[in-house]
Amino acid sequence: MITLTSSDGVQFDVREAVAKESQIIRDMIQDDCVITNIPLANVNHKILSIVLEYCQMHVDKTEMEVNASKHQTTTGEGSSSVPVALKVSSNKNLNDWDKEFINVDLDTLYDLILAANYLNISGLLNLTTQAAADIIKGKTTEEIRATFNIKNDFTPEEEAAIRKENPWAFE
Amino acid sequence: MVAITPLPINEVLPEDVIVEILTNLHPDDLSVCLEINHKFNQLVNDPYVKSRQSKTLCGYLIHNGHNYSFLPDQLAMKCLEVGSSASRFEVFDNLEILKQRYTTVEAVSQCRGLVCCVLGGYLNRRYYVCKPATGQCRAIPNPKLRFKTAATAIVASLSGQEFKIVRFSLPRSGRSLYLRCEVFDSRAWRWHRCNDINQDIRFPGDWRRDGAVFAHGSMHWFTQQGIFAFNMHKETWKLIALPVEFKDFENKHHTKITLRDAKLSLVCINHDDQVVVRRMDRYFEEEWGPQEVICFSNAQIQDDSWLRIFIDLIYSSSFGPNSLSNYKWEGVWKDRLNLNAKDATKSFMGGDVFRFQSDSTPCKALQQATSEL
Repeated sequence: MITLTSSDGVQFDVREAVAKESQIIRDMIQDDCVITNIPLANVNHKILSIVLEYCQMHVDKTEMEVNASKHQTTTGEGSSSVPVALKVSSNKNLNDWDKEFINVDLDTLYDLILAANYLNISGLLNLTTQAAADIIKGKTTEEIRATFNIKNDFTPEEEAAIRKENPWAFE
Repeated sequence: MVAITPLPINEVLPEDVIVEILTNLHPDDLSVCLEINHKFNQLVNDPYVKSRQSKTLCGYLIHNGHNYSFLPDQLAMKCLEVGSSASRFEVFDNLEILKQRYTTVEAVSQCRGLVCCVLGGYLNRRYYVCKPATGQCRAIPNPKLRFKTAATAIVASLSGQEFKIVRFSLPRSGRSLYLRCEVFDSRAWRWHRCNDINQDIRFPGDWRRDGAVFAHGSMHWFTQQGIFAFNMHKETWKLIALPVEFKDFENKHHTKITLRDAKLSLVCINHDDQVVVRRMDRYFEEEWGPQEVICFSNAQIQDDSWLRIFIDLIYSSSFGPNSLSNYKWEGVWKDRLNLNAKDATKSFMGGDVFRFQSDSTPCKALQQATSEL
């Protein structure tokens, strides 16, 4: 077991495999295996609990798959079709679970992106940046500015110039 | 309902994370992001974002139609990608129509990789629009075929989902003092007639190979009278006067229009084998920038933007074949493009060559009836 301490002092006890989903923690553990308490200065307890929920789920699913494939090899050729189906459905479940998991408000999404970036959890970083990209998708410039609270610092002339320069535009 | 204003994204997230988000976006959405603010404009133009986008092709489309070969295995369409490290061919064998003996490519859109082609000889001609990168192909109504085509161009819309084709044709009588103008709009799915052009405009005889250039919303052709510009949105035209040194007729055989830094530019080879470039810095005022002179035999060709201009010059119909035998440029073919002069001749002189840039997203306007062949 490893203890992770959030920036606001809340302690989380997690299995080593779960903590190791994070590249940065993996490196720390490999450098010095006596570490059991890791303080995370950039992540508060609210976000850390969400991140750990993600890690826990993905570790569990991976372990289930490994067990399923072990089962497959030990029971022989005859029953191989069942575990394969199981694997497919568990993958599908995981995607659905991810989709549900990432359904959060924008500020939480930012925090999750930052935490995933800081802890270097590539799966979570992909998931969250894709979610942010999905929010941008299909919106007009004006809608994107409103959604993400971005100030337009172009002068009207500059804006017109960019429209004209945009090499694909004909309308 | 009260929406809570979120914190500004560019103050919360560091740049590298925003770049990570942008790499997940489709080119359509990215072009929208260009207009958000200075920061986003700069981030979208980040080479890393461009390199991570959905598969795009950028280079030259070479079509070996019946004009160039009667050997069936040579009838093909391929894209020569001109990259920063090496070039390679991508062969499109997914479209039957492009492998037909009597297919002529009329025009290729500068972006989005749409190809307008005609199947058939003098009889039973049929117009098609296809997108080789996605394997889409759809027949479109024919324009007025009894008038001989003077020039054709196709342009994809900003979203890449719609397109427009403009066709100029010559009236049957010998008194060709005007050009007939038709436009096909994919949203209406029909041709409509525009005002005739009542001026003596002579398109280059081999207009297919003389690379029309799309910039600032207009299609441009180099003619002896000046640069003919047709605005694809307003469906109006104008003639842009050439700078003084380009008016000299001697030069014109070797003059082409091209794009440099996304701006309309003129290039020509002068008598000392140097390349002269004039870029139109202010398009709407029709102001040409200062003259740039470079010599392609020196190291400047290492610069990718010059390489494109070099290739643009090479495939020009009047100039290309001579330049290939020019020993001074052998090094360019070899070192920069990994082609020897013989292969280069085969590639560029073996068919119709078009500037080509394509994404791999299906075009909605072509979707209804893929492959009506």
